[in-house]
Amino acid sequence: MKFTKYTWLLFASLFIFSCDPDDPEPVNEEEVITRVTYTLTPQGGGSTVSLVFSDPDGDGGTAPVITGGNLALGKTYTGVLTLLNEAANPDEDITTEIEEEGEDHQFFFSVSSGLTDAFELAYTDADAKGNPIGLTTELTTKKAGTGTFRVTLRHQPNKTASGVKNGDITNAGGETDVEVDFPVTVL
Amino acid sequence: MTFSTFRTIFATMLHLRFLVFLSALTISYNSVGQQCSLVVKGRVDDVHHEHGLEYATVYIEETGQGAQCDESGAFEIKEVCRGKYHFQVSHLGCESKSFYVSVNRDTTLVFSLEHHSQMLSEVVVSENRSRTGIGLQHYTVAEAILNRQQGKDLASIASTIPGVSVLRTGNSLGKPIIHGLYGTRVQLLNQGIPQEGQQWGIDHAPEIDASTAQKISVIKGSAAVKYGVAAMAGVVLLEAAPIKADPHVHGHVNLSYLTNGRVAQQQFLLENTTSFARMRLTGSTSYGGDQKTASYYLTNTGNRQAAASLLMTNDAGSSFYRSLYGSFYYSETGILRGAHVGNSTDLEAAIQREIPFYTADTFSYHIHAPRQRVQHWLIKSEIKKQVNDRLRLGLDAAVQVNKRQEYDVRRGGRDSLPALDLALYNIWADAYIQFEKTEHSRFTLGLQPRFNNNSNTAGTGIYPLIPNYTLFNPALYASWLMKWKAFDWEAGARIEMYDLRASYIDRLGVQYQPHRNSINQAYSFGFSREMGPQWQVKSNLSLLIRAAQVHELYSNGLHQGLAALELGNAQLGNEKSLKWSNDVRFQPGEESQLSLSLYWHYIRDYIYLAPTLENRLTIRGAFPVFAYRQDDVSLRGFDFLWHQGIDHSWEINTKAAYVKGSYTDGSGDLIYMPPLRLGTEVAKTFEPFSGIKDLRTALEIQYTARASTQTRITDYAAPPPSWYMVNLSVGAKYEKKGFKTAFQISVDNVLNTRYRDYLNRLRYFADDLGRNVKMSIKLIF
Repeated sequence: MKFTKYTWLLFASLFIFSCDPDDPEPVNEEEVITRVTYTLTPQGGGSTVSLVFSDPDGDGGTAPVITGGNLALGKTYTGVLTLLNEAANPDEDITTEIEEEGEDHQFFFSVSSGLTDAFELAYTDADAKGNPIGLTTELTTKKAGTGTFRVTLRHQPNKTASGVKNGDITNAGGETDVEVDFPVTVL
Repeated sequence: MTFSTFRTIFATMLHLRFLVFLSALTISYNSVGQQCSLVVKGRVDDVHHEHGLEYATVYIEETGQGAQCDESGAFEIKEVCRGKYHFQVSHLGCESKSFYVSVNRDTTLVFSLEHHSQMLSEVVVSENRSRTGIGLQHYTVAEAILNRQQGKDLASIASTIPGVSVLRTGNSLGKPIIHGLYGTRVQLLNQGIPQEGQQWGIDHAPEIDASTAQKISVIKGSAAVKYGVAAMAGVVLLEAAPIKADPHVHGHVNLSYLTNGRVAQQQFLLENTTSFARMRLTGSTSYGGDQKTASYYLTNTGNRQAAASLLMTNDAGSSFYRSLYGSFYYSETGILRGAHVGNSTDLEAAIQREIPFYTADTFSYHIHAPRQRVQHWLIKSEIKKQVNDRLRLGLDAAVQVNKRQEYDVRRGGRDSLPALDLALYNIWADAYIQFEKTEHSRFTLGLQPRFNNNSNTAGTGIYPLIPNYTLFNPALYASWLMKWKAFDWEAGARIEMYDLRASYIDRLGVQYQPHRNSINQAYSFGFSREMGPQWQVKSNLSLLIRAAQVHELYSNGLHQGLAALELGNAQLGNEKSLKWSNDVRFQPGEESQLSLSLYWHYIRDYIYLAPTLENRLTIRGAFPVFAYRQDDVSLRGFDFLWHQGIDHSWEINTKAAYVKGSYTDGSGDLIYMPPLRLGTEVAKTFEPFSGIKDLRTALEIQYTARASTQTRITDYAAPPPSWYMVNLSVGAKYEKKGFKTAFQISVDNVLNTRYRDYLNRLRYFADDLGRNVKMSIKLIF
């Protein structure tokens, strides 16, 4: 039991230890999404509408900037979603990541009471299994109104659950990666 | 005439720093007898009452010779040959003990058995004149229960003691709650060393394998003078039994299987004494898959665990005692997949679900994200020097390394990249000097430095929740024990420096290096009094001043499990705690014991995490913000234990525990307080027959009430309704010359009751475990 003789060394070492914590290393937040843009281009001419949610400094800090828009009644828009990570250096396009992992992602769209029945929305893309992703959509305005338009991105949803393929989020499950509200008016 | 003393040491008696030795005295007779005509006689005693144990049996393993004791505990074995033998001493319902004795002449032996603990097969109140405080309630899990609980986690084992509950995140991750408090307010002592891990999160289970300890006990009351401010509510102790001086390899192998989760476990213990040291090696592994509720699988709740420990000591009776201990622990645990949520909308949806999302129809051993992986190393050395009759010096020192990695469900194939990756290094020592005038008069003075360095490992791609920090925390303590007017009194004081330096970085790249230096203080005053053999009264008053800890000050980030942002509060002041605990024990007869603990705990500026009114908008939706704050609270409660034996065959064990935690301004109750718990066990132990002994069958019914609905903080989901649980167990030993086995079959939740436990965080998402059958066999050699 010779080892125990050296216990005092350990004891002594307590008093000569450095007291400064390690310097934190900068974090490369590759996974974060800081900007969601929903670009709506009217078919057959008209002005393009961009709905933007931007929070370049991530959770906390400065509050996010939200840009809504006005849509024309009785038009069909081609919707394209793009996602960007400005926290990474250089900026990272998350859209491709979502596309590559299409089977694990799906966007859902919903509206607040002011916009009930205002839209008809159809998915125009599909993952490897033929289920929708929602990066591209077709949006038709049916009724005038004002309210919020919500875009939700779910990670690992159950796409085979009832209604999910048709855009009903109720049984989708999964984790929310994006949930943004845009003020929208149809007139 | 020669006079030799053979010392045997008792498993249950090693407590804290002082070893209690029970000697089997061998007094030799003048005898010229032949080689095989020696007489071995003596007595089997009860450690606690110093009277003989009637009808105990003593037999010599090597020869098969044996005898039964008479009413006074006396025995006699004739025609014994010269030699060294293992004497096997047993008593009905007792854990049998082996003593290695050399017989050269006619010999008288006095064996002592811990009859007490076997009679009270539920829990035992220990009688330790420890440095932890004379007025403190010290409960030990009886060896028999420890054997029955083999393979369970530490918190579950400790919760067999009334007043101890378990805060869970699923079945594999549990941390003990003592009198309503947990985490950084309950100290875990592993072989005398304060366990150092990441205890700030409720899903952080202590990084200990309970099977490395031979004794598990709980101090319910503030033992902060000795162990620091973390012992505010109490202490859970894991201790090693002294190793017997036996030159042969002894030990056991334990194999078990649990149907729920299809868990396979093995555990072994080997002991050997050589000229170098007395050694004990333990090891265990556990491999389990998805657990199951009454009706569905809990997908991704598998668990892997491996642990090993090695203890080397010299003779525990030596005036210069030395020991070296090392242990390793590893575990990987899956967290219920359906409990992983992205934001508060998801959380709400998950709570509304009858059956969690992602529930698979089939069983699986796979562990996916979310999961956590933990490693813990400990090396410890202990020296005790008895300078003279009155003076004793001691030095304990330990190094611990703790690594924790938590994995979340992430995008872009980052599931295998930890979301949280922490490494904690700790050095701790305790140097003390003790003057002992008599057994009832003692003064202790100690110096206890502690140093922690906690670092985030880079590369997680996520801003860490806890900053890098170092903590320099040296303490000076003194305690004085004395006897006055038939009372044992003890007073103690401790003062600690708490020097905390943190370092973190924000998203703009600005580095912050806050430094806080505070003083922690602890004072304790208590007494103990025995009134006749039947009554014992204990009381202790502890005052404690504790500085805010690192997570309370500086944590900053998303708590994935509950979709909440957690913010530290750098403005926090000290927390002041006053705990008064009382314990009355009544032992009207040999087969009956009642004990009642009453406590009152007032905490001024209690630091805790509470929701704020703020909802922070992020790209993933709005998150509620939780921040640390301080309020005045009080915790009042009682624990009750009643053991009643009938004819040394039947026993009824009844337990009850209740705590009420509330704000002193009357604004409501505290959240997450353990609800009222009642339990009764009826057991019968059968007379030995054809090699089978200690055949014990037990039926246990537990009732857990609904938790308070009057809490000031509104919970995500209302407390679940009250529930009953029925457990059954059968265990026995089979002993034939040189061959010993013990087997056990137990069924938890016999009725496959569907229930949710208020203290299990997964109750928001899923039911608790359904029926679980455990089969185990132990080979003893």
